[in-house]
Amino acid sequence: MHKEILLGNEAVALGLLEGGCNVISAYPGTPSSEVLPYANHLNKKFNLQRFVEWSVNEKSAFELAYANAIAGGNSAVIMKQVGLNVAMDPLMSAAYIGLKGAMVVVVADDPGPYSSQTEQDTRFAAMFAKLPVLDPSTPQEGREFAKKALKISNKYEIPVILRLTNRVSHGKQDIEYEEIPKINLDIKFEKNPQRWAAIPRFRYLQHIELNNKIKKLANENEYSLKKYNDKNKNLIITSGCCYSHIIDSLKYLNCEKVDVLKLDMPYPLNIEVSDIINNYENILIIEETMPVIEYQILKYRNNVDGRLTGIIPGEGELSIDKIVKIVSEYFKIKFVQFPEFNTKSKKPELCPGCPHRSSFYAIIKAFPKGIYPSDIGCYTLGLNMNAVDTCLCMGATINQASGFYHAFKSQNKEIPPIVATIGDSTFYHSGVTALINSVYNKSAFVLVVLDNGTTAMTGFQPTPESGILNSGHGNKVPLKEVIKGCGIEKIHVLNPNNINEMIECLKECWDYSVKNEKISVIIAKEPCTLLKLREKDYKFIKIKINEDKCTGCRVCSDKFQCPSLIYDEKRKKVFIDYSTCNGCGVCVQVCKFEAIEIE
Amino acid sequence: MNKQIIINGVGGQGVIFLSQILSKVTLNKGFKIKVAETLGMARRGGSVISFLKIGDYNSPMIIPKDGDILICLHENELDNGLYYLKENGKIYLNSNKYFDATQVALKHNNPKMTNVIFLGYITKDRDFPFSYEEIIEVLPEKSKNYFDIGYHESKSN
Ligand code: SF4
Ligand code: SF4
Repeated sequence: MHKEILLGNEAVALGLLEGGCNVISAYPGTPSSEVLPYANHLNKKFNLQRFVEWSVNEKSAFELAYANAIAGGNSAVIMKQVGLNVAMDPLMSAAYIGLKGAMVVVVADDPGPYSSQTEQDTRFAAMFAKLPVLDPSTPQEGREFAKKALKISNKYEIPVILRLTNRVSHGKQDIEYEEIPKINLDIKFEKNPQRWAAIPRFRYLQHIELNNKIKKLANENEYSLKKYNDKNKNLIITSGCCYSHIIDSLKYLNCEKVDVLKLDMPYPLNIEVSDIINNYENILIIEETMPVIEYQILKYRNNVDGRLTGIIPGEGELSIDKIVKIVSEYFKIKFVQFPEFNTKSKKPELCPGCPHRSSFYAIIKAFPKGIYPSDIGCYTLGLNMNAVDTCLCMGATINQASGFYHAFKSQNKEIPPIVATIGDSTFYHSGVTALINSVYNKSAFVLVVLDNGTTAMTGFQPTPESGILNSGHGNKVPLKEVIKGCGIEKIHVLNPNNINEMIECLKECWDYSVKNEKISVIIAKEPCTLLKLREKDYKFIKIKINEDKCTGCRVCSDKFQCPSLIYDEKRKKVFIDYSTCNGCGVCVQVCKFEAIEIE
Repeated sequence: MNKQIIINGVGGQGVIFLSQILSKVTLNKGFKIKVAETLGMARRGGSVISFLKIGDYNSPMIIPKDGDILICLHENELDNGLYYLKENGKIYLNSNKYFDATQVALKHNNPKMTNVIFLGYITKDRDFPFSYEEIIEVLPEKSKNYFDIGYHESKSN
């Protein structure tokens, strides 16, 4: 027997393996990133011999896992909510076609949002695709629901969505588990082109079948009613993490006059719910982040409150403090108002010693008037240095650069230098097709691939360039060759920490690009500092400030922005915060008064 | 035991590490626990906060002004932590006004051990719910020494 404190994501991984998944694939993205590594850990720990690997993007991960389910295997695919947008295409079709084994699509939502572009609700996407969705309220439930999802999937031959939210994914709880048993699945591919390759006429029939499945499935939808008092006329309906907040809130408020109905599966709604709600007068629906249950309830009863009636805010996380306020106001329960939360949170910055800082510094130095499209990763934080002008979605920087170029060119306007930045992992994810499109459409700009050899933001997952798999060594997919293959003729590989070399190279590339109407690429290659620090032979360069030379010009602290270089207002000098300095030594190049010295 | 603990600071200070250590101790003591930690983007130098709810709870989030203990690793982040602490809650603040774990860590040439030194220091306090033995048992080998340093520093303060 093992007893451990597990993250919600880890508990889900446990459930997936206990449920018998033989193929698990994922693309990292906060707050979903910890599921796959833990599945890999358990896979090795119990020598389970399952396939547990990262894919280059969510669509690839989905399609791979789905084929296994067609062949009778049990699959799981894991992504964050905006990742589901990338995998939406295969998901919509898979709903119609169905499967043989089982497949659970684990999607982690990010109400807030804390680390995402949108607050989209995957339960809504499930309703759109007509797929059942389970919504756990705790890590332990995440584990149970993973197994339940596989069962439902197998029984109805339909993919099932397991929707997590950041408080479940990144919440932790004590969890007990036994050794995970080995499995022996009957993998075979039964040819059936009418099903697996259905033409539109058959898709219509499959749609009928899907509608029937969803109807039947609704009856299996489990729910629990927490009754505090038989005479209660007040009811809250909820699902997922909100349930946990609501139970703790009612306790905090010493309130026993409100019952709570929790739906394990917010879509499709169980018909029995219509009977339950008739026993209550005041009904409030609390759910994150869209009115999924609310829309379905309206079929049975329209005097309910929630997001559609403006009681629940239309945006933002339903944190526990908000829930305490909403519940107490709606059901008229007395409580002492919280003080205003008006303290300032410190905003995130690139780490001390991060090589991206050098790249961005070179870019703003080389082209102070440039346009800088960028993308998603740690390097989005180049915003702080005014070196990131756009951030849309994975891979967009390249086509956006292309669009800016054609916007100016089509109207015969002078074209400002356009420098697009993208991380290596993002490039493999969706940059490659974008680059092909831009080459094909005759764009001209400089593309800087910030190649730090890892997916740093989400916890250092390997990229195809390294060829590293969970199970050992795969095949390397070299970055430079891929770029060459997309039709780029001018490619430079350099270390961005040589700032002057990078500045010269940028200028030369832009000259080339405007003159020849072609894209040029710089691969700024230097490992992520946090990875370098893990190495035994990391060379820490100890620097110091020569106070006689420091003029207090603040270039290093305000333009270069290493968080370890701090301007002292009183003394009008910069000092080094040795508790955070990572000893990269790059700042020495930034001070033109030579006040930063190597010790 | 029902206890709600807040740990906060800025990214890179080891807030999450402390939260993991105290969670393990709780587990060993046989209590139920719910934890919420900041992960992702904010950990790159931003404000980081962690909640530990020991005992009979469902949600991992602490209600404002309801927490029992605050462990704050950075003075600038104190207000963020206080928002969740009860009026008569216990505060442990790493600061040069009281006990400056950052300086002690620098003195021992290992600034990254600030968090462990501070943990050692506050373990000495009578109101702190975990004991020296309970904590040292779950600390990784390389941290134990620094935990001791903090624990013994407190005598001279
Ligand atoms: S994790 Fe690596 S890539 Fe990300 S900001 Fe830190 S040093 Fe840079
Ligand atoms: S050496 Fe300079 S640039 Fe590098 S981390 Fe230290 S202060 Fe920052």
